[in-house]
This record gives sequence, structure tokens and C-alpha cells, in this order.
Amino acid sequence: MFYIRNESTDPHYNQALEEVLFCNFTNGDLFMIWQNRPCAVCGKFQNPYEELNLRFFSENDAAIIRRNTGGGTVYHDEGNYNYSIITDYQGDGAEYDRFLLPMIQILQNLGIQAELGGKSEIQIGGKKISGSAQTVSRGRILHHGTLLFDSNLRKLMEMTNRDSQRYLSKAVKSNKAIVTNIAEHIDGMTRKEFPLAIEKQWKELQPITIPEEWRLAAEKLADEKYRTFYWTFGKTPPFSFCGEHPSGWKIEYRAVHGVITEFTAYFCGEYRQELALLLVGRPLIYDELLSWASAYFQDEITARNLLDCMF
Amino acid sequence: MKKKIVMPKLASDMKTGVLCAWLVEEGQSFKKGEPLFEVEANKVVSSVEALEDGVLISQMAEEGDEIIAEGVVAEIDTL
Repeated sequence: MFYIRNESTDPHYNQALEEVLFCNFTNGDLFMIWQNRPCAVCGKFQNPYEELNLRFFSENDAAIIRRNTGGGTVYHDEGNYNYSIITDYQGDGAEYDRFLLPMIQILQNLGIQAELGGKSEIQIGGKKISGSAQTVSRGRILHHGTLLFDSNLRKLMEMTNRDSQRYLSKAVKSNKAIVTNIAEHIDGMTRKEFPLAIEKQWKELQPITIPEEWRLAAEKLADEKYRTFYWTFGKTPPFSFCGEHPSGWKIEYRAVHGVITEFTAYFCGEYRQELALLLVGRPLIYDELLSWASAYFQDEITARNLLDCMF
Repeated sequence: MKKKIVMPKLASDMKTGVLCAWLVEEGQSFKKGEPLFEVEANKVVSSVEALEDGVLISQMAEEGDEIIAEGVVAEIDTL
């Protein structure tokens, strides 16, 4: 099996590189280990507005990524390792055991009491340490998963702290899980040693470097797809929102492709028709709406309260 | 010849799949092997490819609909 140790921690580039490899590495098996700087990674058909605390991302300079595989939203940081496997599809739908059982064996060889949890998770003592998802196309499969080594679990909780019942859509929902870090269950292994240990245990890895042509293609794809509003938010299934805020705001809106198409606002019971005229047609971009609201109301607190109600 | 396209049963235990995205519009022609739509089931996104050349006559499911395995999702006209 060919092996790439991808040293980039740019989440947009890494997602693009994975797609380029999936499209171009059409013969043989590939294994890749990589990390992202702090970010959230949503499933392909999810609603990031529904899944994430967008104020947290604005204030913490963390990225939001939409990936190409199914499932729910996960948090990545420097304490989390990701692995990807690209190989032939064997034609039986969700082929999780095929990839998870060898990884569980490797973790057990390292002294970690890892076990299968549900169809697509790895757990320790009933707590999740790894989630995974897949995509299948033209006879090939991409399987990828997380390995929580020593992630900041507090940030993970803050990122997902959402009142998702305010949103109505057909988007795929995340399943909340109790998680734990691998580092809490293994003695004497550092964050840097962990991927080296995985590499040693995985059978017959043949290291390769990323061809320059594919690296450039990934950079281009990162710019043209993964960094764009069109992909990350515009691909959100249409949704409706209804929320109230203790400051007196009551907001209802509908968004299609991440753009507001209907908007109704009340402040302390008073209908604010002018806001519909001003906001319909605007993309739901947290920072841009906050800037607009701050300028419009000439009052940071009112603007912030409106945004807290809307997201 | 008019034919129905169904939600594929991608695994023996798959009961339903979510039709997440149409990749071919109504009235659009397609070639054998081209992806027609994407399905998500068990956290796997699969692109469902055309088995022959044709034209998509009608999409009988909307994006986001959960469809029973082997339920009809489209009608096509093969060339």
C-alpha cells in the first residue's frame, strides 16, 4: 500500500488534496495521515448553520469545511489525526469493517483498548475516539476517519453548542456522541509519536511524495471549491429558521443556497418590515451580517443580539 | 424506450437512502457511466451511474427525500 504523510494543516487544501487523490489515484491502494488546524468539517449534505455555533467560528478564527463524504460534523485540531484510505470498492455498500478492524487491531497492538462502536465508530469504554465516513464513485472507495489523540474537547463542545430545533430542513443531521481522547488511555506516548506508531503497525506501507502536478491541482481546487461560499454554505439544502432572543428579537427566515429568500423580524413585539427589504437576497455570512447590522443600528449590542437570534 | 430508475440497494441491510443531489436535470441527455444522482446511506455518499445512454424525462424525488431501497426515483428514455 502506498503511503503519504501529508504535512499540511490547511483544512481547505487537505480536503482538496484528498479529492484530487481520489480522482487520480485510480490503481492500487493509498493510505494517508494528516491533520488540520482548528476547524469544523461538515458532511456533504449537512446544514452548517444548523450544526455549528457560527459566533464561535467568527471569534476563534476557525474554518468551516464541507467534505465530500456523508455523515455528521466533526471537530479537527492539532490534537486530532485524520487518516484516508483509497482503494477498490468491493460492492457491498458501507464497507466499514474492512477499514475499521485493521485500525482497531493496530490500536490494540499499541495497548489501547479500542473496539468497534456501531457501524462506523471506534470507541474506548463506550466513548468515541474515531468517526468515519466514505464516498464511492466509479468502482473506487474513499474511507476516512478521525483519531482523537489529545484534542481540545472543550472547544469541540463550544463548536457544536447549537439549538438545532430552530432549523427545519432535509439536511443530514449529526449524531451527538460522548468522546474521549486516546492519550487518556495510553501511557508514555506523545502527540508526535502517535502517527509514527500507526505507520509502523500498518502493514507494508510504501512512502511516496505527492506529485507536483497533483499538489498544484489541489491548491487550485481548494481556491475554486473548498474556500468558496458557494460550496461550503451554498450547498446547504434549503431551510427555514424560527428563533427568539431574550433581548426581544423574534426572527423567522428562509434560506436557499445560503441566501436569505424570506425574512420576518419583530423587536419587542413591533414588526420591523424594513429589515426584510434590507436582508432578503443577502448571503448568510456571519461576519458580513454583523458588520452590516453594526453599521445599520449604530449600536454593537443591538447588532450582536440580532445576530445571536439569527444563528 | 421508457424505463424507471430506482434507488439502488447498496448494501444487504440498506432499507432507505437519501437522494441528496440530482446531477442530471429533466430533459438533459446522459451517456452510459455518467453519474445521475448522489445517495447518502450509512454515512456513505455514492454516485449512481447510468447503465446506458438516455434522456432524463422526470425526476420523481426531490433532493433530500428519503427513498425506500429499490423505490422509483426517475423516469428515463433510452436511446
